[in-house]
Amino acid sequence: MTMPPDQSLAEFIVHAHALKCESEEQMEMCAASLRAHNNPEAADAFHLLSQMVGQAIQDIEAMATGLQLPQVAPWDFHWHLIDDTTCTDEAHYLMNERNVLELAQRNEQRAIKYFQQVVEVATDQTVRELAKRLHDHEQRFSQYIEQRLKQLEGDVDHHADLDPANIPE
Amino acid sequence: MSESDAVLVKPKDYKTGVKPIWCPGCGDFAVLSAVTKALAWKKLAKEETALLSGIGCSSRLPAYVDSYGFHGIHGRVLPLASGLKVARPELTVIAVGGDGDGYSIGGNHFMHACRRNIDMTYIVMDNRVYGMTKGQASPTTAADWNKSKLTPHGTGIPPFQPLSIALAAGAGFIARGFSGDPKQMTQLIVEAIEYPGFALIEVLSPCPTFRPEQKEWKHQVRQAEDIPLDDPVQAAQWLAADDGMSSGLIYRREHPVWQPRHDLESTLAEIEQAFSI
Amino acid sequence: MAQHNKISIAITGSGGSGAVTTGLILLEAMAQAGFYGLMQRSAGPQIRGGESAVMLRFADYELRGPGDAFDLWLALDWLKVKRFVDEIPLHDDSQVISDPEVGEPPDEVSDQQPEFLGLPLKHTAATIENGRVNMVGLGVLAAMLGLSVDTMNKAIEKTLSAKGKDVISTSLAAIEAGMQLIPAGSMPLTKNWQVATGERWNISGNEASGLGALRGGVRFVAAYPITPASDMLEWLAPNLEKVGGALLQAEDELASINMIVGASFGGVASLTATSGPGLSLMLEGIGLAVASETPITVVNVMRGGPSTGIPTKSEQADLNQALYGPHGEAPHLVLAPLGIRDAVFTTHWAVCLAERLQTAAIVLSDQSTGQARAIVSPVPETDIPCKRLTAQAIDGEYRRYALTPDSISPMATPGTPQGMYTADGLEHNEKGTPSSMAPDHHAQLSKRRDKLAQHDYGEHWCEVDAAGETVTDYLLLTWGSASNVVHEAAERLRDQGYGVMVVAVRLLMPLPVPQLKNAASTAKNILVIEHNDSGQFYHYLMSLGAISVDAVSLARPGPLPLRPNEIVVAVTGDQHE
Repeated sequence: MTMPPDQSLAEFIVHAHALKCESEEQMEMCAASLRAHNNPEAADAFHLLSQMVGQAIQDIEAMATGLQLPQVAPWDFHWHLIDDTTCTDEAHYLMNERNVLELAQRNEQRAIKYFQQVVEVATDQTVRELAKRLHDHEQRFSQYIEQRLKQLEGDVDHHADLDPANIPE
Repeated sequence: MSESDAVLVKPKDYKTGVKPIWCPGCGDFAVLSAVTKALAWKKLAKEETALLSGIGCSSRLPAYVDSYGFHGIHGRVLPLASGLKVARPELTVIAVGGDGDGYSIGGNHFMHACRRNIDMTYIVMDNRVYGMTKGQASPTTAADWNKSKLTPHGTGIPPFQPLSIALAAGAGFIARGFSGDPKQMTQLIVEAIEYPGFALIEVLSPCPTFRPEQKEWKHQVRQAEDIPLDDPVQAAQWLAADDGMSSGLIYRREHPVWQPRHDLESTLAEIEQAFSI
Repeated sequence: MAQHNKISIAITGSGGSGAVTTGLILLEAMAQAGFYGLMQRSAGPQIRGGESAVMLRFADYELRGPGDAFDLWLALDWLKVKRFVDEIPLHDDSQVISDPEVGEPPDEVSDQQPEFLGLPLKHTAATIENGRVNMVGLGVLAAMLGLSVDTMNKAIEKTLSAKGKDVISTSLAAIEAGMQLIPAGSMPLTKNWQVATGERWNISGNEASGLGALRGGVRFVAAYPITPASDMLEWLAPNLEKVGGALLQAEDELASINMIVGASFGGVASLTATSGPGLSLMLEGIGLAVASETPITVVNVMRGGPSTGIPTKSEQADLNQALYGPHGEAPHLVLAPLGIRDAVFTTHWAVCLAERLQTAAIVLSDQSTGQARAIVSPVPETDIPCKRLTAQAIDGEYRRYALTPDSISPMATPGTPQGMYTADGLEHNEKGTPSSMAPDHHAQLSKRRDKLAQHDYGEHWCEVDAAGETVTDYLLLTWGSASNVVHEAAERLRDQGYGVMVVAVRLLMPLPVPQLKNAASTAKNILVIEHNDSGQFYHYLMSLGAISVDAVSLARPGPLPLRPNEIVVAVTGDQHE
């Protein structure tokens, strides 16, 4: 589906909200999964990211107050993607914080691209303004991740798996 | 468009607090997410919904969804779900499981559920491997896959073709989804729930632990065009020509749904009277 | 006690000769005339045209089992009759009726030196348009028994109503012609018999189990056809429908057991019926019902085993499997009806116990019960508490497998708000979340054990027949269908001056051991009687310490039925050694 230029503010808010909710859910799932797999370092990193996304969701919900919001089916959102919003399929049980942040950074780049597109094509002034705000927010978030990644430059992958897989059932 | 509760229906409300045991990177996370999105979109009451499963990694899914659930025994999810739906026809019944559970140990039930056509949804998370028992070949594993110690030369057996078999067995709703395309998967699940009869969704769901090469699926799976078909002969040809990497609702045709008849009616006392001399 | 009059009659024939129909009509006619009866059957392996035998016994009291030998034998032909000779023992005064035209009886029959009554059955049948030999033979039996044309008419109309008017009138004409073959003024065999006036039922053991299931509230049945359980399912299919329930014919027994677990999870009392091979396939599902605490009832109509065994003949050989079959430690219920009439109560009780205790109940019926019909007094509806404990208004967190004083936890059924949980065959904690922790495993094991062990099963666990005896020389300890012949043996032994008590066990697991020990405490000798080769019940009792090491096992396999005289001889033989 291509992005319609004439989307309303309400429509855009629903999209932005869904995008961030999706992101939050993915990160929460990864955090829970890594905690279950005894990797607190990666779990904490995902959890922190998910909290930051949660802040963005609250901001968007605040903007939605008083607006009549349309119902959009989960498959009708304007991003067309295989994997634009997923991160669960890129996780690994031995991943470290650096791997987590790299994954988050890829997600951020996709979000930035999405909001940038809206800024470029939207005809509604308020939509453009909000998209710009969200774009900038993602940009700052992305810069933060970049900084943190620099601090972690020395970390190496330890994906070499010395434990064989387990047999629970 | 227009109701204001759109944002308020949150898929995550349909999750329990139970943390999945799936490996990070497992495709089943996306299926869990799509199931909850579908339930949220349909606004199904949690207590009127039941998810049932057999045994295997993917069969853990019901515990993670806040609905009624039954984690049964290996291979028997379809009978378990059939019994529930016949006894409680007003419930939304969703059966889930993996390729080994559904196509190997449960293969006979799979065929008969297709032809019996009880109104339910069956989601098979197919990763072409037995994950829970440590990476043995499954019915959908390619004949030459030799990474399992159990079949060091590969299975030497052509893989099971679930969708062709479902078609031959009489299923009227046959779809293939991909864990890397959650939007499409959510739509397929919603359509399956709405379909009156037995609806099969085969989901390509990679196993990062035993089949890491399946990460490439996201570059191979494509949404199929010019479907759904409603002619079984065309569908059979389409499936025979397909490489197994096309996704979407492939075949949809409505058949009579099996449900108990209630033409006869009498009291227990009248039934007992028939024994009287 | 009033004098007991009884007579045993066998009817055999092959290739569509209609032996079974003849037996069914005679049973109904004797019932119409005011008597009680029992009809057991035996068949060859052919689907059509095979040889078959019906073994009837009539009395002017409510008899329960077969006798020792047959007084009358109507042989419609002698084809492959050797297959049945062992099942139709004769005595010195037995009469064998056959048409000389069908040839000489085989040596196995004539060597027993019965009185042969040769009658022109074929010729007589030929005098009537579409007349059938079996109906002429039936007329002969009717005349010998002193049944009136009117009685035969009623029986024919009831039994053959589906076949249409022509068949009924032709049959009746043949019966009347057959009656003419017996000289008028012959003394009827039922001359001094007491005639019952109260209501009676004509019911098979499989129908009785089906009725018990309906009374217990069963409204969903899933099953796969198997001899000798299929006719229970055939009775249930329309009758379940009538009361708003449903029967689903499954693709196999693995499916049927899991279907009933699913339906019961939905809150509907559910049952399946099968026989040995099917029970073997169901064991994993039974374990699931136990572990997930989902009530189900499995009626196992036993046949000769092992493997495919002898599908059409009876044996009590599945006890071990019923007791110990499910893997792991899976406390469940095992019951056995004490005959055809008791199948109503026992199945009803089994369903209620399963519902109340949220577990699996296995009911061990058998071919000699299930596929037999009897004329019995009606079975009054028994007031058995049957209601499953369900979770209603749920406050806060619902714990499906909560530990409670009686170890029974309220079960939420789908549709109950706030009751959402995932039932699990994996070991779990009180919430139902899978757990392999020792405390959870131990707590849930104890819960599943204690809810059965602590339940008060009352007096129904067995049937005691002490006949007012104070000194018990012999305790005849038995279970299920074997009890039918044991009661008759006990009566005969008492006539010979023995002090005999019968304890027939209906609830096999959990067995109320203290009560059984108490009953056994006054007995000088204990004989454990059952219809199998290895003495499964005897060994079970020994393993529980329920009987002393002096107890003696009388176990004899099928396919031949147990006979009262075997038990009498076992006792008196012991005595005279």
